[in-house]
Amino acid sequence: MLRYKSLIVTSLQRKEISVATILFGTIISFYSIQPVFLSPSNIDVLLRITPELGIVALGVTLLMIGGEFDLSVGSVFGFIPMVTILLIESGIPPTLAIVSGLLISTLVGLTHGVVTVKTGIPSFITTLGGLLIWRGVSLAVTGGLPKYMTMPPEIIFFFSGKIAPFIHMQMIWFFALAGFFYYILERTKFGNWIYATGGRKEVARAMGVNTDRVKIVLFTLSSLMAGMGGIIQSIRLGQALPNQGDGLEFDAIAVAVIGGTSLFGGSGTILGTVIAEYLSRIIENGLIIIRAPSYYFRLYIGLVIVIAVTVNIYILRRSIRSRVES
Amino acid sequence: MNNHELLVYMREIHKWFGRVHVLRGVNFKVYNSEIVGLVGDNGAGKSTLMKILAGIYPPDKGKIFINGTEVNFKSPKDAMKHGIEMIHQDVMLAPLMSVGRNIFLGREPQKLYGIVPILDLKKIRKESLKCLKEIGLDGVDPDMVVENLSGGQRQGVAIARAVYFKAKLLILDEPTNNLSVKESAKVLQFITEAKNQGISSIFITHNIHHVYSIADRIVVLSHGQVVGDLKKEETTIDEVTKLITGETSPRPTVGS
Amino acid sequence: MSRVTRRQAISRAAAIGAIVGVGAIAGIGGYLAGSATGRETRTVTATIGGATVTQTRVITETVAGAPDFAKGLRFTYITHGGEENVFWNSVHLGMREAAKLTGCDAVMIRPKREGDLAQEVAAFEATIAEKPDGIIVPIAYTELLTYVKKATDSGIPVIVANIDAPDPNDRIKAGGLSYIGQYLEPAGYFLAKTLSKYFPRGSHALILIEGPGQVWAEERAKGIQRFLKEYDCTFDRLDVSFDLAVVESRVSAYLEANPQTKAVFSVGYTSPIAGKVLKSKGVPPGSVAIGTFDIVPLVIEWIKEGYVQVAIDQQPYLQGFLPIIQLVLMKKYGLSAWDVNTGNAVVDQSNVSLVEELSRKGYR
Repeated sequence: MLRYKSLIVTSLQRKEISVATILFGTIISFYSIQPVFLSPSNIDVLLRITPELGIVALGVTLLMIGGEFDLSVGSVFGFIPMVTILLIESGIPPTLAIVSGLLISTLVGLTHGVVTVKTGIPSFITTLGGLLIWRGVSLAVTGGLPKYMTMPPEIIFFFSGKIAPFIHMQMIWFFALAGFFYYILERTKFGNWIYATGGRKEVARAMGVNTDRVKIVLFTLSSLMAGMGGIIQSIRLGQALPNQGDGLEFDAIAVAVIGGTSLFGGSGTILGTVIAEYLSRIIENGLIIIRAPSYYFRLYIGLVIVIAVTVNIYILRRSIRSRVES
Repeated sequence: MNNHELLVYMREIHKWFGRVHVLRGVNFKVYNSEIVGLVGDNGAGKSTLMKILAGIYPPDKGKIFINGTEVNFKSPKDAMKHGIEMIHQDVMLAPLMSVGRNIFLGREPQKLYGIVPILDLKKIRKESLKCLKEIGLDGVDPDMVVENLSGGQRQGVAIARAVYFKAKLLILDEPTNNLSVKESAKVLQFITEAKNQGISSIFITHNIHHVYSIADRIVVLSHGQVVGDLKKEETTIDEVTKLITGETSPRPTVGS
Repeated sequence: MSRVTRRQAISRAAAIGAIVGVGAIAGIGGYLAGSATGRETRTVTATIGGATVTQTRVITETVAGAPDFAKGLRFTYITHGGEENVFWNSVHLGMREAAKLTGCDAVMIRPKREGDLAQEVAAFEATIAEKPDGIIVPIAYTELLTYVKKATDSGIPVIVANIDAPDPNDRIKAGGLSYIGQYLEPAGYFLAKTLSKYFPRGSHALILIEGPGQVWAEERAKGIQRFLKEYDCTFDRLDVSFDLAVVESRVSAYLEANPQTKAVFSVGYTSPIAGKVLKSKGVPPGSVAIGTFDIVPLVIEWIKEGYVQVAIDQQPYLQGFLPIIQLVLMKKYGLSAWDVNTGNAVVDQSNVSLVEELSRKGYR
């Protein structure tokens, strides 16, 4: 049945097509209203600001495919840069402080994972706890004040330097991590286990997959990505704010869902999330460019969620209806 | 039955659930390349007996021998290592994944690019196709998503998987329930196909009609005891039905 | 990993095409329709708890029928004040009414979440790319000065409102043309001086600090302390937060231990809680003078009760209105921008009813 393959049909078979089409339509719409939207300087802005939140969405996507949620990513996104700054203030060299910060983020994720898996409490609850705890710690240690992050220029370059026109380090990080996550998900045993764990845990278990371990690894990756995104943002802005990343968890989940990841686990793609992240930032930026009041962002992103999910469900229904006869 | 070697021997198996004596000293045998119909009314103890054989429960008393060696299963994994695969009513496939990825779930082939391990998707596709063909499951492509398969096709994929990974014994728990007549016939064909390749099956059902056409031997359980162990040539549907409902008194077990 | 048939793929594409088309038209059309049909001021009347409240809301950003004076000029106001922040609603109203009077186009960009610097910076950069005729921004974070400079360098005039740079010279260096907002330290001094007619020279006073260590709080506190020293008073600082329950327990304990206290100040708006504490102890209004900042329902309530004598309003409406007027004059006549201290409006018994009325309409 798949013998006939033209290029168009093959590309239409991909799940990401719905979000890619919306992205394309959005770009055309903004451009036709205000050509400045595609000016080199604005494209540069878009390419620069998207990766930070995109990196977080990657981790969240993988975890959601594995059937769990992480509501703590926004808080970890603020907490890890804060920890890094405190370590620098206590005299640890910046590079080591960043490495330690990332290490702490994996411990945070490990804790979320172990608590969720061992107690059987839904991750919605355990990571909601994480959301409050890590935000609370950030606020407590800073008294609600921003902290300045002074880094040597090499480190700033390493995380957010500009290499060439339109090419920024954070973009390279984003694409490298997206590539790595794609490899994990689609081209390794572990990826197969993620799909199975999120799709039907009992099946994965019966086939000898240690689903608890899969989930713990995913929670760890999710926190690590949140910490990484937070550090890149703090380096770019030169400071860590105690409210940094506030509400990011829902943005990340929305992006994953728009990109085709199922809220119930077992299905989703990395490419979809990457496209959806650009879509989300483009809507935000484009509405400013066409001078729409900022309230319209919610309206539009809400519309996009509904459209994208409707299309995905439509596709699912159609494919079930046309079952192959035995 | 040309191969009379004993594959499985369960001896004097007892199981209590709290104060309920579910299995009362059951003796149960399976020979090589044999299809056994395990029949009995609901609550007769069929599923419990098979779950013990599949390593899901331990027996409270009694011994299990595989190829003459005593075994002590701690988990389904142990049973699988000895070639015993239970195919549940609720087929063990992940619905949103492709057939190929399901077949190799937990046993994925990898190749190395330098030191980087990578899933051998080509091999998965090729071997899946071979494995599906082996039991005659045409019309299912390794790239198809399980969700899009019919109930009978799903049973078929599960059986194909067990056969491919060299199972010696399939335990099928009411595999034809909720299937159309046409679909049921397909599943029976898959089981026969497996037998032709030297794999034994235990077919659990409460309805003798489901298994009669392919069974070599029929074991009837009632209230936790074997009340009949009959070669198919030596019995009739009528007799088995009466044994299940308790209208006839037990017949002595074959070969004991 | 999932695959579908060709027929499915084609029908899927058709469905997506249709839905996206409709969605994009609905979304952008909705925006355009909003600005086309909403060119009027709408009055919303609602009945809340038996009382009818009439609220006037301006629906649009640009208003038709407006004079042509500043037609074609586009200004962008970027803030850190989230969409739910009531204070910024007054600023927003002032901005829109100035736009309406002059006929220019002004939008305010507010982050989805209060104080989200990353989002504000992203909005700032997009705005610079869009090249409006002027930008207005509070320096809530010094990082923003970088973008003030960037905008100035690309030829866009920038006015700073609401919060100045900690050192005004940094703002001037970055290119910020003027500051329109409250002068914080003088505002503290002004509050203390205004309240001083309600307590004798040489008294003991309490200062509540809602944001210990934060620039706005420390600056206002500095001004209060400067006057108290001149007035021969002794004083204590008490760190609190905007959590009213916390304020109540701490103030209550403090007043119990220090009955000689004759005046209570706050750098935020929580000192009316001291009035509540005194009232519950049966102390008549006026025995302890209470002064505070900003116009919120709590402040209005306790002025009316007589326990709070003075509140200093920083007049957010002006912080939206005046920058637009300045930018229009700069663009039309080449006039220069000028600094304005909007923060010396006294609210007391004499005008509290009027202020309450205006506050409900979003002007105070």
